[in-house]
Amino acid sequence: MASLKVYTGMLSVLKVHREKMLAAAGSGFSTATDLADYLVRKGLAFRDAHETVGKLVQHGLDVGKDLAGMKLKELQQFSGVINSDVFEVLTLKGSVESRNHIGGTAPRQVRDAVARAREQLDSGA
Amino acid sequence: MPVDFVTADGLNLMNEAKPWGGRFTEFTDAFVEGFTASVNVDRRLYKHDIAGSIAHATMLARVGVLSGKERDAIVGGLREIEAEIEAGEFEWRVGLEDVHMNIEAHLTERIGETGKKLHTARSRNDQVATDLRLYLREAIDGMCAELRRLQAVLLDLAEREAETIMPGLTHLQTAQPVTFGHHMLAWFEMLQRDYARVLDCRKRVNVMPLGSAALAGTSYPIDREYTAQLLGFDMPAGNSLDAVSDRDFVIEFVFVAALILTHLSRFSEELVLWSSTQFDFIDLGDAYCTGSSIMPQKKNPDVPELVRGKTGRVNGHLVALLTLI
Repeated sequence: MASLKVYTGMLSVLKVHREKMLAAAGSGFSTATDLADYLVRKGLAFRDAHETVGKLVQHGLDVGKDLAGMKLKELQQFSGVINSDVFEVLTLKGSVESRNHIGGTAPRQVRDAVARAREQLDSGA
Repeated sequence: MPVDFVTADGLNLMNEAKPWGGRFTEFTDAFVEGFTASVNVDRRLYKHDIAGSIAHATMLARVGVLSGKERDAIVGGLREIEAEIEAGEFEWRVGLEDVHMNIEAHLTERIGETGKKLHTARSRNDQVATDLRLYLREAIDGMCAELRRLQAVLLDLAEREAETIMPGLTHLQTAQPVTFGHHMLAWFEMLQRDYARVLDCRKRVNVMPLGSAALAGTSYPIDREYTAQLLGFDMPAGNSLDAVSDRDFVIEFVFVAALILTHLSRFSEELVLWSSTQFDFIDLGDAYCTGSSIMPQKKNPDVPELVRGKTGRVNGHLVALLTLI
């Protein structure tokens, strides 16, 4: 009981370092899955797309670049179906916004989920 | 009445006359008295014990076992004792074993012979089981309110940080970007299940053992439906043997408490990680951290760490209860 109470107080004053979180999210090839999904939309089978992106990540590790830091030509060496529209899916904002379904991480879904949850709390469920 | 008693060690104790002393010819050993007493633990049930006794006496008067005058003397005496306990003026006596006997003995000292009639058609077996259920019901209602307050804070945080992007981790490695608001909603969902669990547990807590007496029921013409109604129970327990021996509801409650704390322990692990120098994703307020006795630069996330410590204790209680039963 005391633990719940102390948590309520502690989270009420929690400060979030948004820039630090964003910077950390931008490293470590966090959009690799988005790139694989992009290749699938361009016609590749998911397993082949996974393999292609895996090779791209290996290349990135060798040259010290993240996916979003690579030139279009560099990306195209690994797959001919990649176009300039790829950079939209490689952004963090694009990545989270694309997960736009019930239970997904998109900001819109978070807001909808908050509204649903508040209704639930008001109804006593 | 207290009687002077000298132990083998020469300790001069006041040995209490026991309410069950009729078939005994020797005093309880002084060490055994301390060993068997529970009053230091169960005195916290005083409010529920008194509420149960008032309802019991009220029912006994309704069915004609007590007179209206006797009921009024008992109820009045119990209310005075309650006020005395709350004012910290009540003298708890280890020699009287437990909360029930302490209150009953004081009642008789206060109102005289009528006090001895309160225990008609009742045993400590059904009495303590009833007290415990009333106590837990109150604890559950308090817990529900606390859960809801924490959930509301999580929703505020989720809304405020709906657009905040953070790395979602698996195996402590960057996996996929997620929003911090989404992460807070994951915590919310865990507590939402806990809330449903605790409400479900309340259904099984809110059943009344009173009237089961020692184990077989009682020969007096009691009205259990009426007592249950007075105490806010959903129904009287259906079987006297089961009712006095059942502690499932305690185990269930402790399980729910253990799971809630396990959830808070998971949150704590993340808060400690996020507030570390290496991550630096969050700042826990100064009011919720402590310093180091040697390293001046430290701001330690003591609160989440201590919540983790408490989790171990409650999980231990759960195993202890499962083993005990």
